[in-house]
Amino acid sequence: MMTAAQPIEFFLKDGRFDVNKLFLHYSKPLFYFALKFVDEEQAKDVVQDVFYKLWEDKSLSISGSLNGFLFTMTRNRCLQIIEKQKVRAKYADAVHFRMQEDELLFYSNEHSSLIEAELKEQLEKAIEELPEKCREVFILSRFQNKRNKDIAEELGISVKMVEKHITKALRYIRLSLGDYLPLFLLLQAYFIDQKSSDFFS
Amino acid sequence: MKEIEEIKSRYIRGEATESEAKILLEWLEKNPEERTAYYQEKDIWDSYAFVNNSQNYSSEEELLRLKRRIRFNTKTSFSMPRPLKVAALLLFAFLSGWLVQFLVSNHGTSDVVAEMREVVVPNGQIHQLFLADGSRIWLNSGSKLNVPSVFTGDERKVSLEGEAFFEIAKDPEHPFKVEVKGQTIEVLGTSFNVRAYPDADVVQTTLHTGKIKLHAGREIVDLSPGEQTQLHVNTGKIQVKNVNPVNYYSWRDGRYELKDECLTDVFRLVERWYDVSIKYDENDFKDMRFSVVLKRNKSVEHFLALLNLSIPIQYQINMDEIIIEKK
Repeated sequence: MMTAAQPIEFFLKDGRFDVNKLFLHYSKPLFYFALKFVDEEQAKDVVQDVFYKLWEDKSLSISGSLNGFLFTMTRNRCLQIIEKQKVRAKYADAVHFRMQEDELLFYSNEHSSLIEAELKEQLEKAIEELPEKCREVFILSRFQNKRNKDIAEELGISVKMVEKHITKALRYIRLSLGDYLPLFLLLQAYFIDQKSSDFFS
Repeated sequence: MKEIEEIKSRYIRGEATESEAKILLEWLEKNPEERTAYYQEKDIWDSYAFVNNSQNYSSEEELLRLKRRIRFNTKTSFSMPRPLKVAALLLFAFLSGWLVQFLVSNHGTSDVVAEMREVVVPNGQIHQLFLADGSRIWLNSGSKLNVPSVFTGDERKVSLEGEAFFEIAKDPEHPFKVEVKGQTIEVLGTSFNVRAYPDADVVQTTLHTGKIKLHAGREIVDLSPGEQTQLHVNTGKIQVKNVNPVNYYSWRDGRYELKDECLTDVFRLVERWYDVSIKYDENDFKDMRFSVVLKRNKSVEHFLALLNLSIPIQYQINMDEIIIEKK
């Protein structure tokens, strides 16, 4: 399991990026990041497009962190897809795309997703630290995909209470991860200056 | 206020209706200080999908998919194991025993990095090529096709000089367009033949299956199977005829059927087909029409003998040059 960004050398092979390692390391987090904004099939294609572009566009030059570069590319590709769907959508459906777009625009240099920050371990730990009832509800809702109504019945509490526990859990985790937020910047410390024409061997 | 908390929570879980999403969007616009906290909480919810690996996503499978895509668009040599495997950006395959040759540009270099590829088929040869999108194109002797190394954007566009038979893979999202002398052919998924040699006055488009839309100047013609358009390049006039399409693409199998064609045009086609040059006096054969079937396994003399049956001629063959005179 990864707890921090891997140093860039990890992906180097004979001075070039190793597509196998690069893809196997990054495709899954990028997929889950894209999944925030587009559907499953689209998210798979987005990841394909990002790596394809990396291979195809010989003029691409990466500055900054590789991690940040890949997530930015993914974000931009999702934005293109949402824009396209927004234009095609009927007025009534457009709100949804506008909302997705707004959320997507939130992820800029200032904010990154926890997926990008590779805070997997911290996220796991954060659940353990939740108050008992709150954790129970959160796990049933998030990991067992149970509906609030069913959780309420199972635990003998009101649906409103279930709602409250989930809201509380998210707030609690956000605050407990607060310490890590400055770390987001630190994670971009692995800088590279490599033309992607030297990309995959 | 209570209501918005509920909507926020419902949206995070993907249960919000359109009208609830609208309320939330307006609320976020009115309360920008809450925006960061809200999206961070949603991000926490979403990120657990990754932590928990809740989706059916296989990096290994996706990597294979990526490699396939890359391979389709880069293979430029002819070292592939099976000629008919759809495996390359352009794959030149054997056709009825003719030489496979990787074609280079006019300068004699293979332009691997170039965005546009020019495929040139010498006289006397036929080539078949596969495109990454699953389409197949047969190029007749003395033809030139410009095709991008990868189709990008909303349409798949190629340009042709000469004769080709197209078998285009269906992809309504990305219409296929063929640009030839004086006209553009718009295709959704179909097969058709185009003959548009630079030295001929007529551009002939014959539809075999499917549907195509032909744009020439201001005119637009929809073709149905079995129909053929003849665009007269000098006048811009378009004629539509009913034909047996088989006659117009049987050249792929080594049988070139020419029906009621201008004799001087026939000479040019013979030159390409057999890779010879024919010398004649323009005035001798002006305004004459001729029908003939050229066969790959028959020599050019066979053609000359057939011609002699309808129009008495005298001819002389010096290597690749043929001199024809009217008797």
